[in-house]
Order: sequence, then structure tokens, then C-alpha cells
Amino acid sequence: MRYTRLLRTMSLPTSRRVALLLLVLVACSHAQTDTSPWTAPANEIVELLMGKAGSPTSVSLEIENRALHSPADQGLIRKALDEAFREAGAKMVRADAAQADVKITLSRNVSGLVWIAQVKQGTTEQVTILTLPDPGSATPAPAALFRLERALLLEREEPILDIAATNGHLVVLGSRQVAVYRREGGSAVASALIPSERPWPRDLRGRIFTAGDTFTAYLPALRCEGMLRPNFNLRCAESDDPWPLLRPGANEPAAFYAAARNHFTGVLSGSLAGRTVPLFFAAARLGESENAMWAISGADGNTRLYTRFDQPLRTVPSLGSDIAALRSSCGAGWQLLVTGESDGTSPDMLQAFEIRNREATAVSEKMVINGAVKALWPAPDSAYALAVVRDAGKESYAAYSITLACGR
Amino acid sequence: MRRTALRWLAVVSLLALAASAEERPRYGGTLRVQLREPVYSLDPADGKDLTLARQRLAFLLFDRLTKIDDKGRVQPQLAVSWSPDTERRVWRFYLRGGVTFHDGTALASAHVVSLFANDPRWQVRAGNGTQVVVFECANPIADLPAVLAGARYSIVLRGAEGVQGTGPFKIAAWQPGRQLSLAANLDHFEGRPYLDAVEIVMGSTLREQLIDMRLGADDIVEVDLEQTRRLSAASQRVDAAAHNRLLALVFPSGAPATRELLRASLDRDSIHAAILRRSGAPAASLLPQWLTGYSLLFSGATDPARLQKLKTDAAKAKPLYLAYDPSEPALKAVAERIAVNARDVGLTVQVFAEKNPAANTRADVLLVTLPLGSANPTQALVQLAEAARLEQAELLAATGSEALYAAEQALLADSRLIPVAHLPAPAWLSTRVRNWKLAPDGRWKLEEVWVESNK
Repeated sequence: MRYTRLLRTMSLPTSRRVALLLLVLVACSHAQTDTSPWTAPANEIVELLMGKAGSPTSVSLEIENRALHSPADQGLIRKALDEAFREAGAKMVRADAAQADVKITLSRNVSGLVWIAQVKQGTTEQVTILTLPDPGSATPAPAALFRLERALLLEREEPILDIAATNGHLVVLGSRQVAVYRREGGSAVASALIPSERPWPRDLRGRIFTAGDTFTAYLPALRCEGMLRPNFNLRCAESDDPWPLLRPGANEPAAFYAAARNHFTGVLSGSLAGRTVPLFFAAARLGESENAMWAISGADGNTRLYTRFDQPLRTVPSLGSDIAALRSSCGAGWQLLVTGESDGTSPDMLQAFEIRNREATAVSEKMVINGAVKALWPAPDSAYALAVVRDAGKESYAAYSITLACGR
Repeated sequence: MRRTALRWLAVVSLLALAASAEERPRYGGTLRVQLREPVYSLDPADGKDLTLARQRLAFLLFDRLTKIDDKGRVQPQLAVSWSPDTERRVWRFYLRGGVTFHDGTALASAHVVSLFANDPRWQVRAGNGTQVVVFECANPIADLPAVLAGARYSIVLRGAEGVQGTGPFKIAAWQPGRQLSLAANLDHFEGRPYLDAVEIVMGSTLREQLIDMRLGADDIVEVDLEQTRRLSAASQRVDAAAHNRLLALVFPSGAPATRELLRASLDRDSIHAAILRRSGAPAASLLPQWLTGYSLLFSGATDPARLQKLKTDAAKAKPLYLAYDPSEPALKAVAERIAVNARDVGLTVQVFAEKNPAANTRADVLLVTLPLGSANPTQALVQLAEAARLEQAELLAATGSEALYAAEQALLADSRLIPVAHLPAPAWLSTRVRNWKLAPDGRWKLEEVWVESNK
């Protein structure tokens, strides 16, 4: 099974596409009404304040939006509060006719949303404060068009270092365990802890590969092997074995990884044995042949292009430290996927380049990523790249398969 | 047309990447930092006032049982888990295994017990097993893990050679009040820092720091509010995002009515607009809006009838002596404005500069900046209460936002601590500082920073 199956472009006539879109929009608007994330907190705060205020039968309601909700969300919140008061037996009236004047301030703090209800009855004022997690906007953001396409493989709170696919399952390498998930989703069906005597480097990286019912994982100074069937198991041992750069195999390219760092040492192995390059973060082979060009992103910030490894053909400054080769049916057939700027506080991006006349030329628009790309690895056949994104807002890790679609 | 557009796209993309492409963190290098405040003791339990500079150093050298994340939640640090009894009087903390102090001594429950043994709020003992610590509190403490996340509760080992911790950096050289050299702790349980070393020079004036920064001698220096504005206008890299300090008046003693009148006289909006030049935010609450979400409920207004009575009584009051720290340039003007506000209600306030206002015994009232020290409201309030020597019983028992709001109201009730404004603690950064993240509470996360070497 290929990840790209999920990404197949629909080829419907335009009129049917429009009709389908309208159907989806109508369905979404109904779903939104029924599943407003504001219903539960509205019910809760109304229940709390009515309890404190002696259940007045008529109230006036003023809402102040200090939480920067969109007008659409503010409308949904207003609707949810109106409904909650009605269900609690309070009629909504003007301030001069109300038994209680309720002011609800929609506020925000460091950990989420804060709703503050101030209930005035005569000269007394009661305050009720409700804290709730931020569900994000309930109204959909406008769609954007990208030539790079992505499909979500897995999202979870635990870090994801790499994912290998096998027989309807995803084998996921995390910082503490190897876990197996079904492709269609759900929680892990099997997992095993990774024993480690030493603290991991802060920017922990790792790779995992499957072969039939077995898998091999590489972590700094540690190599793990395991079985997926009939019984899931994992055995790890300290190791300075080189990590495969594409796929495991004695005649495949490999490189030694620094035990307490986040980069390769520069000493190459396997089919590249005997060659040495400067310390590097990632290597991408742009082709299948022995003479294919390599792009290697150095720990010094420079990306070097090689065919033979005696001298770089060209050194390109500041081309992103995470790179991966993508094989596609577009353009030259091989593209270089690179990450963009993010320190976790701003959106990251991915962009595809081709190497033409030893120059890196952008061949896609930037795909904006909501979070920081923490890992970017090529699939064994380079048909897609795996991108792991840490979403600082949601505090979760999401793994995507990234492919290149021809045309806009 | 399309070909031209694609070429333009390619050129623009390459230019953008060349200017700002992100790299993975790189290991190595030395970060050079200047602090305005001379720090004379690195021991977080030593002395009374845990200033922002001392807190920042403590977070680099020491770990605590727990820590507060950027969203204000309590997370494990040297304790991997904890559990209270139903009354929240007895708390059990389970220590992380395999942690060593910088001298190689293995962390054990005995270290924690000895550190916390002299606090009247609890009795501490080792539990079953060497890695369990039990706190038996005199009164229920609703969120003890949050309290213990403060810098004051750092886990330290005191010996003949000074104080040691388990934190991401260890002391390489130390000249009190002048210079501190830190080296990466290669065995830190969260992984070694990217930097090899941090060189910290203390006691420099802001002017000296600015000159050194302009000469390229430093990577991080503190700047004041006025300089922040100028540097930002000149497209320099200044981080003044978080309002993590409370500018406040603290009364060590004094008549309650006088304190209340001084609070009522404050024109916070004009201080914020005219003197602080709109840096930070006027504050009638101890904790800022970003931290609690409910600070808008606090008002600086006083009932007119009550104000009139206070004014009448003030005619008999003696002059107040207000001390401020002259090393913070804006404080002199703020203090003088407070004196003008006070005169409007019949109070005489005499202002004078004092290098260490907290240690001054002549002053009736101190104008100080207090670090919030935490992105957790409970922990931040505890720290402010400790700094102002305020009663904490209600605060420690508080659970939930409403109870914390009530506890904050109680702390403000006798006007011994009067908030004036919430301020940032701006830092000017060189371009080679990467992965800089200022925690909302003002901590410098230097363990996550790396420096760009010359290509």
C-alpha cells in the first residue's frame, strides 16, 4: 500500500464539483450548529451563575469579547448562552426590565479561555469564573492551494521521530517507545519501551525501517530490532552502527551518527564507505544511479552538492537543515524538499527545489506548516517524504506524507 | 508571462531562504551575557529577595521537584510524579532515578528532606524507598507541586565549595557580583544544552551594556524601556514581549489608612502613558491579564465617601519616605509622579534613591519591581506574597480561578502591596543567538539556545 493513495486528485466535471462542494458546505453548517464547542461551557457558566444568583426568571445579557474571538465565533457563543439561559428558565429581557444584569466577559489567559460572569442584582454583584481549554475557531479557515500535498498519517501527544509503513500498519519510533498503529487510526495496538541508560540529546532524532515482519530502529548510540508478528517484541543494544541514509542494506548508503548530538559525523559507510564529508544533518540522493547527485545539509549551515565525494560541486548557503529527496512524475523527476524558518513560535514551511545547472531553483510554492518541522525523512523509495510537525498550540506531533503534485 | 512569474518566484524564494532559513540546533560555542544587577549569592535560599537576575541564574543551575510550562501547567522535573491525600495535607513526591548533582553525587530523598526541613508550613520525611519524599503540611495546600516549582525551592547541594545543582549548566568560575562562567552539564537528564558555555558579566550599567553590544562583544544584554523603543525602531532584535514584572509599592509597615489613601491617589493610567511611555500595562491587580484572564475585575477606583474620610484623616499623617532603586531609570520619574498624586489627596511623600531599597530601614514605602517568576497563577502569587511578607494561608488553600481571585483580593485588602504596572524585562539579542525563547514568566531558556558560528 502506498501513502499516495489518499492523495489521489479527484477528476470530476466542474458542475459536479460545485454541487459536491455545496453539499459539503451545507452538511458542515448543519454539523456546526449541532456540535458547537461553546454549548457545554455556556451551559456550565449559566448553571453556576444561576445557582449563585437565586435563579432569576429574567436577565439582561451583555457580552464583552476580550479573547479575540472572530465575529462568527462570538455569534455562536451568544447563541449558546441565549439557549442556556432559556433552558435554565430565564427570559432574556432589556436591562431595565431584568431581575439580574449579567455581563459575561470572554477572556483568555496563559493556559486557555476564561469566561467571567458578573451578575448585578440591585447593589450586590456576584462573580463566577470559568476556565476552559481553547477549542480553536469553530468557523473554518479559508482553504489555500499548494502544489506540495500532504496527508496526515498520525497525530499524538508523544514525540514522533520516524514512521515506517508495513501491511496496513504504521510502526512509529518515539523517544520512549516503538509503537504500532493501524493505518486507519485509533490508539496504538502494540508498543514496547526503549531501554536507555543515558539521557537523550535535546534535539533527539532517529530512524526506523521495516522488512516483512521485522523492524530496525536507530537512535543515538542505540540500535533496536524487533518483530511485529506473531508476537510484538523489541531488543535494543548500545551500538555505533551507521544509520541507513535511504534503506538498510550492506550496499546501500549509510552514515555514522554522533552519539550525543543531533547530526551525522560526516563519515560515510555502506555503498559510500571511505568517503567523508563535513558534519551534516541530512542527505538527499537525487536519483537512483550511482552517479546521482547528493545534496548534504551541513551542520555549518551550508548545503553541499556532490556527485563524487572528493569535492563538493557547489556550496549553497542557508538552504534549510532538513532536506529530503522526492521522486515524482513532475519536472526533472527528482526534487529536493527543504524546511523553512521556525523556532516554534512562527509557522514553518516546506518547499520543493530542483537542482539545475548546480543551482537550487524553487519549483513549488511554499507549503505553510502550522508548527515546526521536527523531522523530515525520505521514504525508502523516495515516493514521499515523512514530515513530523510539532504544533506548539496543540502541543501535539503530527506526521504527514508529503508528495509533489504536478500542475497547480 | 507565466515563465517570468515562475522565475520571479524562484528568485524570491531563494532570497527568502538565504535570509532566514531555519537550521537544526548546532552544538558548541559560548554565549556572552550582561546583567545589570550584581548577584552576590547563587544560593536561591540565601537572602530575602529573589530578584529576577537571581531567578534566571537559579533556573540555569538548579532543577526543582516540578516545573511550570509555558501554559502555566505543573510538569515533572526532579519528581516524576506526586500524589496528595484527600485533604491535600500529605503529599508524596517520587524522585527521578539516575539524577546526579554537578559533582557526581546521586540525588536521593535525604537531600530533599534536608532542604525543606525548616519550613514551618510542613514537615518533610523520606518515604518508603530512597526515592520518595513526603510533605506533611500543617494546613491543606491545594497545589503544593505548583508552589515547589519556584526558584526558591531549587534542589541544591551545599558543601565546602559552595552550592551545586543538577541543572543544565554548572559553575565553571564564580566571582560574586562580577562574573559567572557556566559550562554545559553533559549529564543533564533532559540532555546536554547546545551551548558549551555561558559567560555572564554582572553589575554593568545599561550604558556600558549598550556600548559592548554595539561593539559585538555580547549576545544578550538587558535594556530599559526607553532603549527598547529606540532599538525596536532601529530594527534591532529586542524581546520585550511578556509583562513579567510587577512594579509595586511595598509597605514594610505603616498605618492602614495611609496605605489605603496612597493606593487611592495613584493615577496609574497617567503613569503608564506619560512616564512608562505605554510600555507594559497599568495594574490594579497583582497578576497580569495574560496570566489569569480575570485581572480586568480589579479596579483602582475608591468609593468617593471612603476617599473623603481618608483625606480628612490624612491631615494628621506624617510625611512618607519613599525609596526607589536608581539603577532602573524609569523608577525615579514614577516615584516623583506618585508623590504628586499623593499631594493631591493631602499626603506628603518624600522621594529618595536607594540602591537596595528593600534593605533600607528609613523608608516607609518602597517602589520596587518584583519578578512574577512563574506562568502559573498560584506559584506567581505565592512568590509575590513571599516577597512582600504577606499572609499566604488563604492563597495556599485556593483551588480554581474563583478561589485564586478571592485570594488575590485578600492579598490586596490591607494595601501593604499596591500594584502600579506590569512591565516587561526587555533583552537585546545579537543576530547569532538562535532558538531564543523567553518564557512568559521571564526565564531565559538558555539550555535551548544555540549560537550561529561564522560561515
